[in-house]
Amino acid sequence: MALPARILIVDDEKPIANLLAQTFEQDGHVVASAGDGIDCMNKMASFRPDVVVMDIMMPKLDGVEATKLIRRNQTYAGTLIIALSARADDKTRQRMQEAGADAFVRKPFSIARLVARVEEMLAVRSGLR
Amino acid sequence: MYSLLGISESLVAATSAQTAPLVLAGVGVVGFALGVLLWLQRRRRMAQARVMERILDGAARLTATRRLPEMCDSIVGMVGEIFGFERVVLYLWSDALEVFEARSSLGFEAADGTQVRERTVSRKDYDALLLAGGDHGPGQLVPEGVDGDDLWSGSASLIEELVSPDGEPRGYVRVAPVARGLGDAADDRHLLTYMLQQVAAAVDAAEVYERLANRNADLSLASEKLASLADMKANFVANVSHELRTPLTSISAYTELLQQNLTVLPPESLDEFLAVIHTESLKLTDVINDILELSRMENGRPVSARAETDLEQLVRRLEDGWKGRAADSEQNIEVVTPDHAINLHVDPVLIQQLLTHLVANALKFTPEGGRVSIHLSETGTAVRLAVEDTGIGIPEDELGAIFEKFYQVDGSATREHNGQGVGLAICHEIVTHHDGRIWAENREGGGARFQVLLPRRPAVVQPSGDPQSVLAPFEPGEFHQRMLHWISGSLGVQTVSLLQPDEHGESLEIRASIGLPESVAQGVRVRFGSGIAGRVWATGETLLIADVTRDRRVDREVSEPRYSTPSLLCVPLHVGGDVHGVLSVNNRIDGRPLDADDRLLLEALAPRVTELMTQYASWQADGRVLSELRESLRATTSVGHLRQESFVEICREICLAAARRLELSTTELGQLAFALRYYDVGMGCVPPQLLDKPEPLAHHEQLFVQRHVEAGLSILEPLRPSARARQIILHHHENWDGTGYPRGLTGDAIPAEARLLRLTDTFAALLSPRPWRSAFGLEEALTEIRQGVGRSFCPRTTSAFLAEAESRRYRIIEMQTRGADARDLARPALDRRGMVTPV
Repeated sequence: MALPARILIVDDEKPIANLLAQTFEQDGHVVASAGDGIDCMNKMASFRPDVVVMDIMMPKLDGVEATKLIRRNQTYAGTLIIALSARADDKTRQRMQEAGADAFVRKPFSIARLVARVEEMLAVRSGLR
Repeated sequence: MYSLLGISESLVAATSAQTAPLVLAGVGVVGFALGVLLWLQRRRRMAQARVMERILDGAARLTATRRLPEMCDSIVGMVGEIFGFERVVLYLWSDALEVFEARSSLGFEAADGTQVRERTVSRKDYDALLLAGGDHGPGQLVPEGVDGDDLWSGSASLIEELVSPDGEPRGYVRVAPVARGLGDAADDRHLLTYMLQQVAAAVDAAEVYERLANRNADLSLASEKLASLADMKANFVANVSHELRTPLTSISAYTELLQQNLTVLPPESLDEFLAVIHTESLKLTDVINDILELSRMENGRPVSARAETDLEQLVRRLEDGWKGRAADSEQNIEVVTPDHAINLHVDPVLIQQLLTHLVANALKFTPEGGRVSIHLSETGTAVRLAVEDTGIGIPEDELGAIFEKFYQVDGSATREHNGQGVGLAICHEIVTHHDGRIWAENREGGGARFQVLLPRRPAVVQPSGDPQSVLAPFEPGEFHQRMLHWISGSLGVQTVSLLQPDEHGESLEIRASIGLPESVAQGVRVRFGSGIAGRVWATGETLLIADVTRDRRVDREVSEPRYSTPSLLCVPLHVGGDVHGVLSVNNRIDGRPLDADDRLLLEALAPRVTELMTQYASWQADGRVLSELRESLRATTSVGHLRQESFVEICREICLAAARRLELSTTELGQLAFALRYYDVGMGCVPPQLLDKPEPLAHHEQLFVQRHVEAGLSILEPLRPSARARQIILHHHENWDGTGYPRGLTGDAIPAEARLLRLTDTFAALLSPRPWRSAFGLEEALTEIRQGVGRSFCPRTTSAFLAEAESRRYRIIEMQTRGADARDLARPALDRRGMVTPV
């Protein structure tokens, strides 16, 4: 098991959000969920996550805009952002990268591989600290 | 030249008959005279040669000119300069208008201040001119006052044809005055012929060049469209893949987890996981079905699938299913219908799909505890279906685009729920298929409202039963349906019947009808000369009857049950000198009596109907022509129908009244009535985003919008509008000061009817709201028109128009203060094919 981290799952698709939450919790992480971009920004302040798993197509505020807002705030400079999207065209990927996401994962994805990837990135980051 | 040779021969003959001294003296005199004559002749020949040289020079210079207007000016200039004619006009045949159009002129502008350009001469008038000449030299000498054209009064004129090298007549030059000696005139005429032969090739080339330039513009427009189509396609693929991937993500994630943890998971988790997989699989199936459905809809669906359907019952039948779904997610469903049947001739399967999609869409957007209401109601001309929700609504700037099949909220990835794109696109296809309209709006208290208007179109009854061929692209049954709906929509009437003589030619029988009970349609036989239709058949004259219950010409037994309004209009269908049928309309949808304006329009439509019916059989060999005809009928029917209740109706009335005040002839009025009805069909080709755009349009966007004029003409083409109607439509955006489009005509060069149409169009637009402004009040609108006089509008037609508008002041104000019906109908349509923004 990797270092326990605080993980915020942002996705309006409940089944997939629930599953991700359960899986990360089973791995010993502390998890919170948000159903849209606005909710995400509120949870950023109250929950202070180490990692944000961010869907892109969401109501109210989409993943790209939410990512930009997070990156604008120096307090969250160390937060890892992993983008998830069912819209896997190059344009979307590029916009997400420009917004400041650290990784891009295309839906559908393997849960095990996603968890592994998040933990690996966490390890790299803590190694750099 | 022959005359000169003749003189010298007679001199030689005279010489031999004289005595010697006289002969000697005579020879001297004659020799001198001969010398002078020869010298004169040489001089004339040299002069002619110089003229010919100038002509050749000029013609050579012309070939360097590519632009047709410049070339026309040069030719006219050359004719004036070389031959010294005071008045010169060059006419070229216009394939689009099927008339000779004056393309350039000389000697008129200064004389009476009017412009000759864009005057037209029909083929018939031209042929009459040639006959009137009766002169068989080169060109045609037209005696003064033959054609009553004020341009050519005061002297005889000369017409010289412009024939292209391949022998095709391209146009002609008309010059005046021709008052000099015959010999001179003959020489001039030879030289003029010579000159036109020389320039014909250049004109030909310039015409080809002009056509190519137009084609080029079309092509670049088409390639622009293709590029944006490619963008849309890419978006569509991305959207569809998103729709497919989202449920797939859950399915694959949950199965992955099941595989890895099957033995350790507690049974309740297993149940939960499997339930998620099942639900998501169903969603996936829905998305796939939607996409397939959309592609099926696009390939067309036969109208024969339509049947008289009670929508009230249909909605009630679906209600339980919706309530079940809503209860699952703790939402409320409310269905409001009138407590009687609402029958409509529709495809029941498609309408059920439409309802299902709209309600599913509303439920998706409505939070728990929210409410979705379905309202079914009737207006005079349509059935209205509204689905409202209490969700978060739709961003205002996206209202117009959500029915686009390839729609994606531009640039942003925000979206509310899955499955949004395809379902609404299907709704749009279904509504279009029924020639109706669908649009979305936000409710004042929050939430969205989707509205559908389905035109009330009674079934067409065809007792004789045309053979239905499945292979035909536009089968005869549908042809008759569409044609009758076209007439009923254009006139706003509920009942239309087409009567034709039976096989013995003794009585009329109903070939097709709408709005009549089948028993009546089957049973009617009208004898030659009896009843209304029989009289029209016998006399070949239109009958407009104000009150059938009082008119003694009406056979009461047959007619009584048919009329819910007392007036009736019946026109003959002429083929050559014969009447081969009768069109009868009655029961105006708005309950008003049929009037002289309706008569004008129906008389203008009758020749179209005749032509379509006679041509239909020959067109069956060419599927492309038929499908164009179908689109044409569909586009014009929709416009005619849905504009019924907006301000356009009263504006049309004002326009025709103003035209009568200006003493236009009955034929002109008829063509104006036709143009008034259909002039804006081309608007359907302009992307709605441009029409609804609040910001000023960029130059290329303006050009795009301006294309609607020519696009409209090409939509109308299969209906074979008259040359005059085409002209009125072509020039209805010209401004008095020359700043309009498409030709930038000035003043009187713009046909008077087109000037009236310009006013009508503007006035109706001012009275209607636009996305970027509210509607003008009557006074504001009148002021706006007055201020445009001299710039956009012609002073004379404007004063006639304003006088007629003023006299309808109270009706307009009443309409403006009346309920939402008119407002809804005046709303810009969202459909880019069939529907059109009301002016």
